[in-house]
Amino acid sequence: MAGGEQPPRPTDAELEILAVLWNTGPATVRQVHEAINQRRQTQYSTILKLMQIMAEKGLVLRDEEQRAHIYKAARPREWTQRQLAGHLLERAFSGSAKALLLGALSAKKATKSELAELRKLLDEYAKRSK
Amino acid sequence: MSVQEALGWALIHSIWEGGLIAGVFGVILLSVRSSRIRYVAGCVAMFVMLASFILTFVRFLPERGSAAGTLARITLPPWDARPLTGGNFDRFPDLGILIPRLTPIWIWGVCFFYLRYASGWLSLHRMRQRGVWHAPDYWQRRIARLAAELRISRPVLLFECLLANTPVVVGHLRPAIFVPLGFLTGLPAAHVEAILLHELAHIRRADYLVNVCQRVIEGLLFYHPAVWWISHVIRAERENCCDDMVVELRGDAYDYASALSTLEQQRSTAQAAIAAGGGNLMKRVQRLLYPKQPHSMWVSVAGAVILMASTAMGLAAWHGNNHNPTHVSKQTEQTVNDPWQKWLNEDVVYIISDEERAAFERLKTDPERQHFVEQFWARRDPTPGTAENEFKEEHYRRIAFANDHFAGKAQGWRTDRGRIYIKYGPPDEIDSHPSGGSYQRPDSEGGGTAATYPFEDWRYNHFEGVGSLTIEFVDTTSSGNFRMTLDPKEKYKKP
Repeated sequence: MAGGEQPPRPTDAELEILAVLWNTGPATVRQVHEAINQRRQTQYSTILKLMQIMAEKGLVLRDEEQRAHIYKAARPREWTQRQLAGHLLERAFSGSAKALLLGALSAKKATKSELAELRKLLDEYAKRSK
Repeated sequence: MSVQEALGWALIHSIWEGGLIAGVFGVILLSVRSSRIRYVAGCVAMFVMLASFILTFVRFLPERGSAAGTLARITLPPWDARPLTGGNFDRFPDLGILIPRLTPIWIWGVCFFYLRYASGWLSLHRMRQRGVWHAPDYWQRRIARLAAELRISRPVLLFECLLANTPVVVGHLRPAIFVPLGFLTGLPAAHVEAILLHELAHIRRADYLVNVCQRVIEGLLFYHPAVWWISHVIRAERENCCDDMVVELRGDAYDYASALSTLEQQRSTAQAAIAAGGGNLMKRVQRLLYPKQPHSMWVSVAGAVILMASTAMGLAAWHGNNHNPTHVSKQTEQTVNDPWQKWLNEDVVYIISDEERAAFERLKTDPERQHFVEQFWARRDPTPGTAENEFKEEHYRRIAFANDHFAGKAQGWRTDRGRIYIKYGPPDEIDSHPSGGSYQRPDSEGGGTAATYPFEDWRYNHFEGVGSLTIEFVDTTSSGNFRMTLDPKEKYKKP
């Protein structure tokens, strides 16, 4: 297990595979290939090759107990986000870039108590309209 | 008045102008509930603030742009600007003194904000380069259908983005929606669609473009709280407008509100919230579920206070630099009672150096000032040791001469001719056209004959630092108020 050492920065193609693994959880090469195929045509062998290299680099962990090997991302998504962005992430969404973004949610996150309150508001409304 | 001073006054006036605009905007907010109208009113208010700032600035600019340009090119000895603005300083010391400091501060502030936006833009650019994937075809087709539903003609691209933690719209001409990884699969499809509709509504309404304009104005008028307030209202109402569009299209406020809430929930569990008091989601959901809410009291109170304060300040500021010259001089004559001030600002105003002025202003007691005045003249005495000070005598003779000969509505020493006469002495030659009339134009000015205003050409054969020089004074109002000009066309009457 490559836990002690830090895996290197993933390339774009590797990131794409990691993205699938983060989304779906541990998966076989075939499952990853199917997910990526929804976006663009790829060869199964390309994905297989990539994922074997990633396992060597320590980007993904391979579970070899079953016949079809199961892969999972070595690091959580947030970790890689930070690795990619440095402080960019914080800056991009709470700093100056925020001024240029438009989104359904504001860049500031709601706190736990605000979320609870929000939930309550919705529940009350649902109850009342029944 | 220099460009810098004009800018300074524009800054000062914009405080009350902006306050007034914000006050009116506040009244509109009180009387209108529709988000669309509130949004438009906010945009108009912001634009009017910018326009009034620019208009005020232009109004304070030197009236003769061409003359100012020439003045800068010919290296005339610097005119003492004080007599022109002296009136302002005397009457409104607090504001006038601020002016030279205001402009640099303002320029630094504008630079700061624009650099911030530029760096934000750069980091957005970086965000789009790593960890960005086209969304699956299914969703691309879906978004195209939704875009058609909103009658958006531009193609809209949908990306999944590793670095985004909430769906965002970027770009105007080639708009793109960035959603966090897992957003498309992690929420119920109806919720995803509702959120995407909200983002598409932003694109439909050209919000990205408006937002950029908004930031440009914010950066220019950053010192004004009203700008930030109006901008804040615009942002809030913009989201409300998009919410309304989604609900109009989908018809279920509760569903949409829970979509927003789920999205927020998902984001917050993914990463711990950093700052407390985040967002306006609570208000928006409340508004979606219970559209009719009473206005809060403080808005009306704040509006009234802002209105009154800015009206008062506006009156004060206009009082402070009324540009009617006769008005200014009359007032100055009244206020300069202190003999030392009179000496400084009238007797020697054209010949005292900046260092001397600063030194004199630092003096505390009358004997010190008396001593300073004696030294001042002694330094200029061409024949030290004799009882007479020819320089001082000549100086006071010039003042008396100017007052006798150049007085119009203003005292003779205050006029342009008086200033030049006192500073540089009698010219070697005066070419006077006291009643204007027909004038044989020299070839360099176009030739032929032309009707002119009354004007005078003063010729100095040995002007310090320049050699021979002719200064022209024109009385465009035929009131005896000759003004110095370096523009030879100034004297011609407009046909």
